[in-house]
Amino acid sequence: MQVSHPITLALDDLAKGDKTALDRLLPHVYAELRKLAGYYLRQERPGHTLQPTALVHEAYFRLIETSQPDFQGRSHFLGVAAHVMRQILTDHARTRNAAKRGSGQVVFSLDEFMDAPMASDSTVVRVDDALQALEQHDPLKGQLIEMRFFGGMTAEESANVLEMPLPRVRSELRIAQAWLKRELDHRAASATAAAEK
Amino acid sequence: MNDWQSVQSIFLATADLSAAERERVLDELCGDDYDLRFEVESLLAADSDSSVTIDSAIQGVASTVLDAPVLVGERIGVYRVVKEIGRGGMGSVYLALRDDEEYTKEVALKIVKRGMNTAAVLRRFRDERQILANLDHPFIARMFDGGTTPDGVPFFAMEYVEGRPVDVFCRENALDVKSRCRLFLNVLEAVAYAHRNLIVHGDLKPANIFVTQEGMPKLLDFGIAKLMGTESDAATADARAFTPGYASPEQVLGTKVTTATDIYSLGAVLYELLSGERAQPVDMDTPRALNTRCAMWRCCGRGWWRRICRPIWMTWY
Repeated sequence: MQVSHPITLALDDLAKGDKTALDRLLPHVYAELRKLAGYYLRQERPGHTLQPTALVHEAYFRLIETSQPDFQGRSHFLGVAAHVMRQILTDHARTRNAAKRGSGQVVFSLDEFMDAPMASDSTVVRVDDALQALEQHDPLKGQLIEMRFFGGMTAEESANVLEMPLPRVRSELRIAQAWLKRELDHRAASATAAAEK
Repeated sequence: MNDWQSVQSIFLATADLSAAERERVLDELCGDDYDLRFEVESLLAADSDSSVTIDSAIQGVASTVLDAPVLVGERIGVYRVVKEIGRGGMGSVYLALRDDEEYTKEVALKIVKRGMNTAAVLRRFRDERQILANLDHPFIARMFDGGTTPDGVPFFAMEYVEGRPVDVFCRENALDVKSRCRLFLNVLEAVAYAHRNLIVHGDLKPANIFVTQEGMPKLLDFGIAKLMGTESDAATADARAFTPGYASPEQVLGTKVTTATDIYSLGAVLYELLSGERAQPVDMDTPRALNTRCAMWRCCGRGWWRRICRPIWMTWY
């Protein structure tokens, strides 16, 4: 008899509606995603960009050791991982933005020439801020965006986790994307205006 | 039905219609509620706008964010990372503590950014390590150690200097010309010492010339430019990285970097310390602009080089 992995057990419990399973799951998912990111970075493929959703999917295959992928369990896992991935990305971007603003002394050399492209940190913060605004406005849509863009989940997978009809998920996602794009556009415009002042 | 629900249902009803159809249906559904109509239309515009993509916004930054694992609190070799103190194109600098049984020492831990050709950096570090370790001068920040993090990224441990960049120090303490020159002579002494040991700095600029509270200069990052392969022995011109405001023509043009490169940069720094203005413009941020500028220098015969750098050169060599 095969002893189930703690992750698989937690996912089973989560599917049964046990919310405490989430707390057991998060540290594993976090650790695995970090490890994977490190692994990919070591490969040093030139021009290689890390796809967060690809990492999330790979984390699933590494953590779940059953040979038959269980659709229900997989969807739940991806939902959790999407949230963790968003946390990882935004926490770091925020910390780095703060470090950039806060450090009076920049010691490292060759920075003036190379620093410009790194302004993109603020983009992820802007995405997260806009997403938080969406969550306030319409929590379900916020969750769907998180699943889609940070977890790489299909509409079917989201529909499965949220126990909602697929057409509803599709239209919710479409509205959510339009709302978020409009919000991002506004924020980018006001950031540019602020920078020009 | 609240507003947001009306907006959503009208959006869904009109999103896939042709322009003319859409107008008609919007007229019908929104009536004279202009706020509602504006809300729906702005969402429809965003829906069809392909210039903003959430995907690329997130994935574009994912690599840069994941690229810099949170190291604070972690252990790298014998060092414990305390906080990030700087960040640049080549990587990040952390304040770290070396915890030995005997004593605790603060170091600046420079962690090289990924994609900097790790293997080459490490190979050069092994070649240069002894030379850099031997660079023992009170005005030069010591290089203690180097290696790779658990992720396989090269790092260097250097003396942690508490101080201010030389230009800031002069300004804050309102140093007169005489004091600035005296300070600068100490800087020259340190550079001359390194040159006697055949080590070129390669990226001298105020941000690398720190001055401690006691007024003692400390040169940072000696030899780092070479380890990074940013000296012009790098085969590709694009890989060159230097600081335009202080770069010498040979750096810009990608020809051989020698001790004269440092002298040139020192001249640019001294010019700035004495005149309050940059010796050369900083807006030369593209290789093409730099190359053009350099071609002009060669034609014009670099007046300030003759006035300032050569006398320094003559004094020390």
